Amino acid sequence: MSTNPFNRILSDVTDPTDWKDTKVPDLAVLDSLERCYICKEFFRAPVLTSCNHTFCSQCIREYLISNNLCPLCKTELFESSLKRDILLEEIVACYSSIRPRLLELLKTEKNSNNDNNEKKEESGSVEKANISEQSTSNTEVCYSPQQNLINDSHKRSSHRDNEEVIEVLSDDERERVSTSSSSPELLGEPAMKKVKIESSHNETLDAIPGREDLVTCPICSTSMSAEELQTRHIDDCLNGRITSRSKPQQLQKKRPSPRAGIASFFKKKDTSPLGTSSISSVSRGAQPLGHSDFYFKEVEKHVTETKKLSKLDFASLTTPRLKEKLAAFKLPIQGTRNQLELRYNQYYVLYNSNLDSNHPVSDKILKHKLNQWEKSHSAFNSESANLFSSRGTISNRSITAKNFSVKEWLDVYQDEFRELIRTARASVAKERKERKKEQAPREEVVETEPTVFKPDAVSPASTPQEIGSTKSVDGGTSSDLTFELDMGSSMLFDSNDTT
Amino acid sequence: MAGGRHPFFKRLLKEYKTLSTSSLPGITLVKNDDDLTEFIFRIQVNNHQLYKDSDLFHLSIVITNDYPVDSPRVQFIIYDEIDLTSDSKEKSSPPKPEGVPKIPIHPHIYSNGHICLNLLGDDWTPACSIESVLLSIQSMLDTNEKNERPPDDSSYVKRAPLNPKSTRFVYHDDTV
Repeated sequence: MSTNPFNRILSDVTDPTDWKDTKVPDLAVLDSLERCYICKEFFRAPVLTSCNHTFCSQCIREYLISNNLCPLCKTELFESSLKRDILLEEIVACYSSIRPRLLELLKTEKNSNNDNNEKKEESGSVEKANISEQSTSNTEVCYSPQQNLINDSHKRSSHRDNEEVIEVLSDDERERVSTSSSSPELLGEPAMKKVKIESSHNETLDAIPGREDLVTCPICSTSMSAEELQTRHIDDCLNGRITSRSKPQQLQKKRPSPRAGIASFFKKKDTSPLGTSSISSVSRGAQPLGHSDFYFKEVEKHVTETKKLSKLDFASLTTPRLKEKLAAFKLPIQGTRNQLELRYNQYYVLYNSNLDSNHPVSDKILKHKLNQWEKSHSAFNSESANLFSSRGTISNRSITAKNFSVKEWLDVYQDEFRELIRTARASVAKERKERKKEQAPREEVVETEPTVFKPDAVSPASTPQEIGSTKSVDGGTSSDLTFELDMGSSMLFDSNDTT
Repeated sequence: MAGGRHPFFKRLLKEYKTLSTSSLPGITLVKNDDDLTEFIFRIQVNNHQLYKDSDLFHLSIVITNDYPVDSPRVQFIIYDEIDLTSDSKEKSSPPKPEGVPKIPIHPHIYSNGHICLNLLGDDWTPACSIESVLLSIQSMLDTNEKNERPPDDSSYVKRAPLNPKSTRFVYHDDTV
């Protein structure tokens, strides 16, 4: 392997394997799950496809320009069906912002901070569990409530404490809560057992706090034991036979404003009666509150009003019309037709994916990105070949390519062509000489000598005059060659051989 | 050169990082350019009935501008590693393996190095990577039992385009 010219940049490249040498190598899994399959980066403005896969908005939109199948499962996909995933974007932003510190801590510290950080991650996955929780409660479909909800039930119950809805809890449950707050270690063991039984139903459940045996009903958000919920409560809840107190709460939850109340939990963690709050305060306190704030408070930003750009049907668009369109977006209108189309498409992707972001950037930045992209795209660089390779890439380009430059080809292979011409001439001359020798071995020797010497005139040692003459000869040959190349390319176009 | 990098340069860096740190058995990165758009790998197949341990198969992988939406250009090449030691950093690399550079014989590999593999054409998805290409080609060689070229080898090679990607292969053999 060659010496590595990228060592410096490579240290900045984050990768799930970074976790392999840490105390918690399993974090690699979490790390890789938060990355886009296309760009391998952390999700930027993640969107959900109709086949339930998640990609960066920009990545999948770029891909869908030329394809209509999901990169992962190959089901048919339409751009219009992409749905933004607000929560995931915040989770990823949150995770990637604490990642470097986490990595540092888990690498260097042996024991003291280790537990703490594992818990941090736990709270991260609690947030993840929230996704499923949110969706279930919103759709009022109850699959297997206790499975998804164990994780954050303690949070929810404490949240309710803050909101003075503690009455919802029965005396028995309240006792449990207070027990867990005073001595979580004692309760830990039996709770673990229960949790294990429950998790055996669902392998995907990966992070279990293990100190909580209360679960939250996905419909009315009441906390209760899993047993109670499964046996009686769920049916009651679904049939509307629930207590009058929890009902308004359920309705409230659907309106955006109480979400702000939910967010208040994350801030007032110290007032929470649960001992576990110290964990969240570590992680919450260490990072800017922005991520949860955005999700819970700034709900009005969750629905984008701005209209997405529409796809253009280039086939039915004349170049002047296309230029008008570009001008309407204040985009540059110079370049070939192909470049104009590529430019519009890229702007279209950038613009629409920007709308999918929780934190969209200004149009100015988009145009800057577009400009950067054009610089990196070969179709916008006439001499692009040099940008992408240290070697003469003309040799790597197909002579059937549209932008194949015959001139460049001739420049690169000038010497080889000359060499070939020289050898061809030499062999012709030799042949002629031999033939003449056969015909008239004696008399012709002197006469043929100039012919034999002619090829030598091409050699570097020749005089300037001679070089000039060779050049003109070469020029003639080149044009012949060009013709041959054209013939070749037209032949090659229809090579659709099969194996 | 700044700004002239591949739009997915970061992904390429990542792939390069994994390729150069974690080693795939039998696959060696021989050469790559500074933009990480051209790679040459050496594949060796050991203990195989058809391929000798000393056979050196060099695979050229060229990242197209639309990668990863578009598949990379992959083909076997005859590549003389010793030749290039003189001109660059190659000197510091591990010793060259003794062997003969060859295009592997395989019912789906043409003698000009073109490979008929669905992963490189229709079945490419951006979720694939250089590594997955390498692994599938390695397994393709590993499982091969036929000592033959594709049936249309001579006619294909005569008219084949320079770029294997401009050939429209028909994938019909599911046994490999």
